[in-house]
Amino acid sequence: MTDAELRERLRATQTDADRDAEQRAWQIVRSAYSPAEASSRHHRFRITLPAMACTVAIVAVLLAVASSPRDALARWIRDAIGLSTQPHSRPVLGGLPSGGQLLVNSPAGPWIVHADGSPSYLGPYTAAAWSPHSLYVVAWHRAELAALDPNGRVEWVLTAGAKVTVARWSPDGYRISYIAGRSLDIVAGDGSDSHQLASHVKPVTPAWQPHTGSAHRIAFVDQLGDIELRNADTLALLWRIKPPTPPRQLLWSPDGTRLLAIAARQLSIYNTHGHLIATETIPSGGTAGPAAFAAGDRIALILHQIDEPADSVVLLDANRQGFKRAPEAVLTAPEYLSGIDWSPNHQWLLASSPSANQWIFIRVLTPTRLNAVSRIANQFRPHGKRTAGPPTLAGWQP
Amino acid sequence: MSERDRSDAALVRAAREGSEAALEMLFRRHWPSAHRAAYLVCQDRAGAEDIAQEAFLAALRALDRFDRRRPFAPWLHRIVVNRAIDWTRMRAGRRETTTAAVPEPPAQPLAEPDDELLGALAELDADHRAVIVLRYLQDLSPGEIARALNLPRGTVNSRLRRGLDKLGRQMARERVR
Repeated sequence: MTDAELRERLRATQTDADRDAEQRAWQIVRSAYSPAEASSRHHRFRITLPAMACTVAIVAVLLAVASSPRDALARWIRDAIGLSTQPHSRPVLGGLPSGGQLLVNSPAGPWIVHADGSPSYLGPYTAAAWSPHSLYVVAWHRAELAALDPNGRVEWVLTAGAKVTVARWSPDGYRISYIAGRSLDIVAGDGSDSHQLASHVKPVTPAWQPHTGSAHRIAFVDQLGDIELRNADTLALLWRIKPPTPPRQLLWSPDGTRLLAIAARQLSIYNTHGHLIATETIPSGGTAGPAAFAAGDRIALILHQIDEPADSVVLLDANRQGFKRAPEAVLTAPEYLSGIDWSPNHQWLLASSPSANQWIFIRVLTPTRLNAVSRIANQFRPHGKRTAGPPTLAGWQP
Repeated sequence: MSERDRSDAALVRAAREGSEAALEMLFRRHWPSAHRAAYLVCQDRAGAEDIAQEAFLAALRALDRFDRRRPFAPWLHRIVVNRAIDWTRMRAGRRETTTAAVPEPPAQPLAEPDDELLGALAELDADHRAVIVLRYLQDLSPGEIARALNLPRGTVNSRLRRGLDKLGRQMARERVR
């Protein structure tokens, strides 16, 4: 074979499937591109100087940390692209960066925060979760499960056999899963045909698998601590796996190809057949908190430090082969962080800090930015009543 | 001048200034070869997609630092091929656990038009595939390959020679099968 023949044959290895890959990749590259920031960086590069100063500060902090008993944890985190122990804080939520609607659960009940920052109270429910297109929420209180429109109008109500602790709408909107007592039950999106999927499950929020066509598949943690994937309609067991440690949280990647199981000190990724792809162990000194999976393989995770009153938000990249590189810290705060969520365009993260009564918006594109809003609990008081604390995050949607 | 007629350097400049159209043109122009190079080195369709995508994201993050006097394609392909080599080595060292799961359905056959060449390439190790891909798919000179892979030029030449020899032998075997 001549050199020319080899060239020609190597170049002939394109298929239709490659064009699908191109389209998927372009969507991710485009979502990572911010024209306004690119333009701003190009014309006014001095704006990055504070970020450089910040980076120097971060390195200094990490070096100091690395010399302490927290070495292992510090080494686990590759570098930091943003850090602030006391970000500049505003007293009022002026609006949501990048828009969308945010659902939060306050001690008085769920609220929807609109793009301009104004909140709408949905009623005296324990908590609520979005439907896939933000047309409804499913809310629960004691043994009552209800579907509401965004104005709080009740569409239907169902009485379960025991106290409801969590509910989640399927990605296509046709099913809702809920845990009542220890039972995992399924109901159609219109409130009909409620049936039991599993009689005894652990109190871990079940995770619907996205992009399964007309099938409704849901992963959950059974009474033995195993992860099961079942068809919610036929009840068929698709697979069951025994993780080394029972997970506290299950998350599907937005494309439905990977399941992330989060245990106290271990993150595991499984493929759609339940085969382990990769694990990442959190070094001693840290434990995993809540996490959120975004398109483009990015996972945001709260990392609690055991011996220090400081929590971090770290980013991990997990593709279909595993974790691509070491975690990257985007925020370290001298306080407890309880929740994390991505903005709909995946350019911002929102971390909630109940101990500081604060929300922190983190822009994850470079240059990073932190916007904090303080006294957050005061902004979610129905009819001006006092409430017991700040709300928890329950989903930021378009 | 349309975006299609603009040089890579002009597209990089426009993308830096905020033109998504320029970025898309740059992406569309270089994705096929980047993806193909990743696939030929790592020999895995899903892996190639991730590698090429990750390379574009890395390029995007480094766009501000890119020296526009230098050609864009070799810079991108250097990222792609190095990541493909890393990926292949990482996969070779990883074991999947067994589970009591439903049997995994057979992998979809790769509808490639040149099974003989791909089969022969698969028998080479990733280091040899990488130099062949850079030389014959990306048309880099041995000196450019040496810089891209951070190798002595002599090593590149010997890998090329051994790789092509082995490729020729494997293809002869494939024909016999």
